[in-house]
Amino acid sequence: MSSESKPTIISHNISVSYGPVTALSDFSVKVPSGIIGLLGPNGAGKSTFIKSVLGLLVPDSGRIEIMGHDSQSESLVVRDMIGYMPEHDCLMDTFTAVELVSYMGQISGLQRSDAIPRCHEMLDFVGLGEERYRPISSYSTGMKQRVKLAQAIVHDPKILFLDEPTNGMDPQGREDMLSLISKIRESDKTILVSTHILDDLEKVSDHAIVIGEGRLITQGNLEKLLAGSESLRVLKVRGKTTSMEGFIKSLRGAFEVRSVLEEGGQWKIVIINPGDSSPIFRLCGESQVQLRAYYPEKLSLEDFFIGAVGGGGKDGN
Amino acid sequence: MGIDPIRYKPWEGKRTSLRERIFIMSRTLFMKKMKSKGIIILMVLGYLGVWAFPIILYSLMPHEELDGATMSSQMGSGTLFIFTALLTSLACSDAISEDLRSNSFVLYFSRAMKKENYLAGKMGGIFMVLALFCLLPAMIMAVAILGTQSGNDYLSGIGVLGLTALSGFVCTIFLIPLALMMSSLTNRKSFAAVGTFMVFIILTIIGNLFSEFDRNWRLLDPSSLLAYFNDWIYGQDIPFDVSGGLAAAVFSAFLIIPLAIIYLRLHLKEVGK
Repeated sequence: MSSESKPTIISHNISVSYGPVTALSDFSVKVPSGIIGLLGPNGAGKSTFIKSVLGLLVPDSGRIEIMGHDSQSESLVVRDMIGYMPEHDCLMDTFTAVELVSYMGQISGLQRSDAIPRCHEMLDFVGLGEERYRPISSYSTGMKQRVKLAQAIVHDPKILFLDEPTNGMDPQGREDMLSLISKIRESDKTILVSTHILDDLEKVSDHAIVIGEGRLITQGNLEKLLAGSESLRVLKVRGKTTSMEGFIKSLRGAFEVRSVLEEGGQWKIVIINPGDSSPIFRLCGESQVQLRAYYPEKLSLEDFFIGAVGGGGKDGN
Repeated sequence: MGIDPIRYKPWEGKRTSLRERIFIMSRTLFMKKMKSKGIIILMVLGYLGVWAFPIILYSLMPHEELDGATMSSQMGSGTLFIFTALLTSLACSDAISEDLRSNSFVLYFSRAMKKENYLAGKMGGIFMVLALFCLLPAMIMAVAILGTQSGNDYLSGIGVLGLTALSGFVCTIFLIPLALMMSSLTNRKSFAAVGTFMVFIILTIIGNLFSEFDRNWRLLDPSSLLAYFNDWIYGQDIPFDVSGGLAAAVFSAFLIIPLAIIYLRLHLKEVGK
């Protein structure tokens, strides 16, 4: 991934308030290219950040740079580089998908002669067949999500904001949508995905930004974030009950044991071990238990998210 | 349905200017309105009721030249105003309310389009529709009278033709801001259409009711205000007890106040309120 490459969006200490409510407070972040998960509880400031990037909100202080352009003074240039797929229903339902996507293409700067073939290309890409000639009011939620994606990419933006892209879709539809997002990424774009379905995000994104109470809680490469920072290791062992009791007692004496769980005669023990594995092997031998597996614990994105938001204030940079 | 194994293809064309994009908005709205049965029926009825007879009458009736008085009485006529008001109410009813209902402002404002550009696009589309009823037939009528005149003073006739273009433009644009404002206040197009027409009626009633005490109250009646304005354009006398300055102020208010309200509504929508 490209977290080491030049950031696409740089936010310099922006603060945004709605009257007495502070939505973003001294928020600084560097968004790399690739697929980036934008995480945060409701009201954390994700939408405010997106609106600030689009130049729709004027920050009280600070500034945002998008590929070298200022979000406020060059907002129209910036918006030409951005595609936005909103979360809520936003499609003019009296239009057909062809009319809407080609119209949005033309509003985004495509010539009419380009917009029509491009619209069909994008509708083919998102997998909308003959339904494209029907009014949008007759579409299912999944089809509407596809049209929303098509209108967001019709002008080939460099940056794409996807707000809950799999919202309301069935499992197959979700898989399809994630596959589409991965395909778009191949053309070297920055795709910011805001979703509450963390499993989806884990499948496609390379980088995560966690926002809480208007502040950056943490950000970084997803693999590194999920690897955990506390040298968590998983041990899977088998043995007689008496041997296991002795082994766990010895283990607790030597390491910090986080959890012990028996799964069908096999014990899963999570410990913190920043050092090498030789003491583990020695203890297993001494206690006469079979060591079946020993590997670093990987957090799920959900565990990570709950930990990050619950803990708060942790800066992963 | 299912996913087509088509790859994502980048687009490498040249982007159009902002002005062209605004025109696309106007053209799309215009085309949509031209497919509306209600608008077409109203327009045909209007052509027959307002324009057909005067065009034929004034062209066939012996006349020496195209004069301002003839055009002024036609452009300030009550039937023209009623049909224009009906057409404006109908054409503007869903221009903004439809976007309110479908939450589609975000699609415009996430693109290189500002509130004023959006408003210009919508106004442009409605203007094209109304120009077909107010401006085009007025020009046809003026040309027809000019073409059939017995006198040789074509120069003054061309002057009146120019004034007719101005008068037609004013008639076309005069009611649009108020009707668009009503459309921006509700997400039901029927409410917007009825509301717009009711505002015209109520203002007319108030204007006529209070004009018993002071003639300036008639300026609140959009029909009378437009008639005075047309008289002024064609160099005709306006009633001595009507203040010219106040008429100009009320006329400006009819345009500026609704536009300011629409702008505020769009601003709130832009920031997501």
